[in-house]
Amino acid sequence: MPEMYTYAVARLHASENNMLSNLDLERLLAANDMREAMAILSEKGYDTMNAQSADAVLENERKRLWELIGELVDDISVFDIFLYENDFHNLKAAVKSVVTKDDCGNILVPYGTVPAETIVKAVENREFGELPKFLRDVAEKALMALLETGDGGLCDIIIDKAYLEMLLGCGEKSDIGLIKDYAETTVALCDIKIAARGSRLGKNAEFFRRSLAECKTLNIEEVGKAASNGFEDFMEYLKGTDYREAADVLAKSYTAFEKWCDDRIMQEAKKEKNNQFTLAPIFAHILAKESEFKMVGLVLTAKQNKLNGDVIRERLRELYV
Amino acid sequence: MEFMNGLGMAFALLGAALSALLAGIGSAVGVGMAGEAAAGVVTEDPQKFGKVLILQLLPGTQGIYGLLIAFITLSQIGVLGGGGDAISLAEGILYFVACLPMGFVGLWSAKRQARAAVSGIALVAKRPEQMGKAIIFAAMVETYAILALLISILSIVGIPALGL
Repeated sequence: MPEMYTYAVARLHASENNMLSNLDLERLLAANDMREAMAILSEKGYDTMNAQSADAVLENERKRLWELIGELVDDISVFDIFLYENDFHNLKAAVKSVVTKDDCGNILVPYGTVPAETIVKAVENREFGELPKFLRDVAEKALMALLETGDGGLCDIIIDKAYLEMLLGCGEKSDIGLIKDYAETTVALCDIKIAARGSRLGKNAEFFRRSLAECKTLNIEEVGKAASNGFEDFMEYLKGTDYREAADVLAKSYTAFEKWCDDRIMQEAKKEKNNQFTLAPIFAHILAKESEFKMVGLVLTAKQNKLNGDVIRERLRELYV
Repeated sequence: MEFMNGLGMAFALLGAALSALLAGIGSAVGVGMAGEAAAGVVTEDPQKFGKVLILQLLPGTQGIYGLLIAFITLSQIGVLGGGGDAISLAEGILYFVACLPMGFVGLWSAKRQARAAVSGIALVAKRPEQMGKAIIFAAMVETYAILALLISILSIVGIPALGL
């Protein structure tokens, strides 16, 4: 029943008045120091008083976002699609730390569907049955591959591909148009990124067969074939697909392409601004907040390290409001 | 004959009941839905209470129209105020049919008006200065409830003159 989220959607839309706009990001970028930047964030509702660092501010805001979503939606598992990335990231860290015997505690991220410690413990003890089904097989496969070959890149490929397939599966199962589009676009754009990078590095067809994940808007066999022939061939192929614009952006720079990918997803989310019902605007709000956090993190890191504003400006994504 | 007259009364009462019932259900659903949206906005910004309350109330009018039609019908058939003669089966069916526009249009227009009101509430949440426009968008739906009210009233009032 779409009307059951009327309160939630109205509340989130009302709270969007406090979200950062691109103009606010420019102000943040123009701030003279961290103190001034924090004051701007405080004006926009960020809790900067109780946080000691930029990371802590963002961590706190992310926590507030997920607490609010948990309050508004009974079954929060519909938004697990956002959290799987963290699960697979933690799995990568766990597998590598088991093989290298390094402590991975500092690179684990919170907010997965499975606690990071559970993943690390399961991989350390080879008790893959402790993991949910979607991580079980890939964890074993990635660990075996790393132990046998010592190739960290191969381990990454196995886990990344499993993540993309999981994402696409979530999109296909969902009856919300935006989630379907998000999953499909994310997978297709990741495939393009892999193919573009791989083609520049002269990777062979076998690499692309292992790395590329199936999706509806790209034929991955053709992508792999074109990419294995080189970057120019891949660009030519891309011009004949729904992602022809990507070819022009990729020709400029990889940074521009990454920005274009995020902006494309944000444009999909923006369509939900005038939707007052269903879960789709809630999903769009989470996407918007996550993108905002990413940009604030980028600007604050630049401030901390006194980086040139122009370098950051070309990386700033289109925001939701 | 007495049975047929009783049946006529039953039809007329059913019409009155449906008018109040369907339009009332539509308004209850509509005001409830708009109320949820209004509460969502007020949670974030309590100062907008007055503005969103007006929009919340808009889908409530259909219930009042339904009640009005039920009152007029009951009054015409002598259930209210007394002194009414028995009505024929044909008259009863006519009252029943005359009540239907208000019942059905009331039900649907209240629900659709609620959606317009919810959108208007979202508009006011972001642009409070656009409140007048938000009200107009929702009020446009009211036109069709008023047309249904009008046709139901004209029909009900005109039935005795037919002399059936």
